[in-house]
Amino acid sequence: MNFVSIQFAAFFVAVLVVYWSLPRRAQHVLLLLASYLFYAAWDWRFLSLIVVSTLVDFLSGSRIHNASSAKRKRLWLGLSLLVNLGILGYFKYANFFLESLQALAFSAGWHLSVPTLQIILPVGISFYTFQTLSYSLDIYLGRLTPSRSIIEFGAFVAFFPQLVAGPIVRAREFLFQLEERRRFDPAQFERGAIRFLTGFFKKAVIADNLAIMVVDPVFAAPGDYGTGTLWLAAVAYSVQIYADFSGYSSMAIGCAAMLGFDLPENFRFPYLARDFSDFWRRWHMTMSRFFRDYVYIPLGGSHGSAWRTRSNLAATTVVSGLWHGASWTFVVWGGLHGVFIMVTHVLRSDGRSRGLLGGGIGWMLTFMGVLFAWILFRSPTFGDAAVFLDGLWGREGTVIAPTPLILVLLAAAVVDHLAGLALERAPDLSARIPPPLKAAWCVGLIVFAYHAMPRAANPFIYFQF
Amino acid sequence: MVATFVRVIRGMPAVVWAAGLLLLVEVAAYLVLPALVPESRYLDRYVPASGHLSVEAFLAGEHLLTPDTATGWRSTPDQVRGNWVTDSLGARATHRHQWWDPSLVRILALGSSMMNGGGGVTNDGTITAHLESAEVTTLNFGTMLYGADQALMLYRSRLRALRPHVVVLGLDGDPLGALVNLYVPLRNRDETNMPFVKPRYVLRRGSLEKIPVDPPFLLGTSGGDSLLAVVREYDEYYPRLVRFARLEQTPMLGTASWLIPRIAQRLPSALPDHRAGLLDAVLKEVGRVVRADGAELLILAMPPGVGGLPGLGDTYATRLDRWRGLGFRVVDGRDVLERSGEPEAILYSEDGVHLTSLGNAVLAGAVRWELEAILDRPLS
Repeated sequence: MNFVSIQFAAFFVAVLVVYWSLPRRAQHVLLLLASYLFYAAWDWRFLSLIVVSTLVDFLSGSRIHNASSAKRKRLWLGLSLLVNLGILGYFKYANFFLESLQALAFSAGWHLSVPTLQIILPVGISFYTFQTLSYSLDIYLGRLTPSRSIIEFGAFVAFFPQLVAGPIVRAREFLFQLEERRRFDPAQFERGAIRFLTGFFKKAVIADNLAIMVVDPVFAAPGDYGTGTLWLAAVAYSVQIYADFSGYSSMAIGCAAMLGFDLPENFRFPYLARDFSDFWRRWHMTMSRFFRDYVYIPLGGSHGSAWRTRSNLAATTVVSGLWHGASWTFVVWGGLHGVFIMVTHVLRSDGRSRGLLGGGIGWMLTFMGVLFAWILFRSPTFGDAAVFLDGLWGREGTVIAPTPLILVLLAAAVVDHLAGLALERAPDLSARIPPPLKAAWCVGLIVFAYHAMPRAANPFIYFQF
Repeated sequence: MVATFVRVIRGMPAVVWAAGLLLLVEVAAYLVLPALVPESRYLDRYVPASGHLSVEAFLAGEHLLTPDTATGWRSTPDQVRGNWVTDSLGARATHRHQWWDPSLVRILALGSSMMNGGGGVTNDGTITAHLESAEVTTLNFGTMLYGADQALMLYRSRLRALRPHVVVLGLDGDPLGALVNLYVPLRNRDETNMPFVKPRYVLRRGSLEKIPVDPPFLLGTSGGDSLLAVVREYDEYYPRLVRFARLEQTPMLGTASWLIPRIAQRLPSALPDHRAGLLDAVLKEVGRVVRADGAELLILAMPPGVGGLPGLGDTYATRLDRWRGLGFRVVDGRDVLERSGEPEAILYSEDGVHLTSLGNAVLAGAVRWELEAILDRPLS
């Protein structure tokens, strides 16, 4: 069930009405059932994976907490890691590793016949396995006590607003909200509704239109297009992926708020970043902090030599690239960001070069680096990426002229970031806007979306991860 | 209760303001837009700019359809476009047998692209090809976007001389809607990128009366005015312009006007369709003409496409009951596919509407049963 659909609208309104008329414990049962129904609408067969992951981690969490020895704690944590990473590894990476093994053997002169497994990637698997993992890991690290209710824990794992594409919520920032007394708060509901609308506009109008009008045709055959159009497509994709994913996150945060929950922010105007570390503090923030907490810090973090810190950062970005998809283009995309971050680190430690960071030049270099990396991210193969990149430096070809709608959509992303800049300088700005002005803005978005959104909605980009 | 409501409303001032503003926009649009939206917008909605190029190709005989005074359009004869191959009559056929071989049963098929098979199957994968055997020969005159009226017009104007033993008439999609309009909105974009104009029948004092159309007037579509003048006079869908101008420009009214007909479609008795009488008359006329030629008529109700399960008001089943009530032999295509036990994914082609060769073969099996009943003997 896609957020941008009549079905979801009907589903969500029905859930809201019933939810706010129930007592707290019954609300949790409803949330669990509604979340399973939401997921089953994608593919009911994979519900069993969520249920298995939920049961294993509920059990592991409790056993880790009550274990009498460190060895037993490690044993139960190992079970959780084995099941979650096993599910993720099998469904997402099995074919990738088998094919890579075959290619490696072939390059070494061996003919290795490896069967291709017929595996469908379950929607949202990378998100909910990380959430259940964070639960067991946090209990193991003593940061969390286990949940006493399987219903509440199940509702946390499968919470439908963020089940299939995040934000990746840590157990310790959600479970306590389930345990607290909940009351309908009109102000929170209003914030949620406006947030949902903003996200809807970003996804259904900005991202989907740019995809249809520019990005999809150009990336499908980059060799056919001229330099100007390739630059337009590169910029359009940078805007599309941001509008798509941050739009989904906003809708998720908005839905959760209407149900009385606060979810963590996932984006903070990433194209305002003035260096690459700053970019990752603004882009998919809940994933970044997951990798920081459970990969970068266990690797040693910044405790060690400067080069050790840099290699830890690079390793973390490579793992993050692999998380995005089972393909070498994603791995190299992650590695490229790792190199960018290492260079940033070197420049920052070198007093003479520090001037390059933080100002307009730093912003421009960061944006261009991110933009080039997106080309690799979006291209199906390295060959396609090479053709695209080659065309950026002078090539005749088909032209997609920027129509007024394309320019308006690109301008909307700029306005969004300028508003972000203003919000960073005056965080209470939003609260100071009078309600009629907010309302006019919302009605403008609704009417514009009604006329400009493509009739057939595209699936969210991050569902595939 | 009231106090709670007031507290909630006061707690969300922006939402209340937005609801009020939206309502204001909707009312203003309802009152003002019909005066502002030019009538040509009606055509712009359905005819893309590139549609005019298709019209020119159509009129120049370079399209897979060709103009026809009697029917509006028909399949272009002697063309090869991928899987789509037509003979000198414009039919899809295997030509395994001689049509006039006296030892054979001659089956002539009429209908839309569902009967034709579309570009997804070769001539050997059509329903008619699967019907053929040592005793049966076929010619398939299924034509894109044809309604029952055009099938009748085609048979009358061109096919009676073929003296078939049985005529199989495939009816699909919206068999009522196909009858009443001259201009086929919405459907043209995906399938042909062209505005079609066709003759149609009206019921006058219980009799069918044909309203002819001269296809070359399509040339006037580049300006839009001549087409608009014709649709204003004859097209039953023309009032959509008013609805479009009043109701489809703003989010709330637009969503409601999109949603309500879809819900109404599923409620059988809520909106009785006055066009049903016209379809009855057309089908009776097909039956009369076919029987006058010494042939039998068999109706094949085409399956409704992927996911076309019975709804609240099963209009598909209701239609079949009505046709059977008029005395026609009817094959229930939906039921046949369901009983085959095959998954929809292999019965339907990628567009989810037309059938694969396997889907056509399943339907052909059921048609063969009916043919044996009509001929009162088994067919090899």
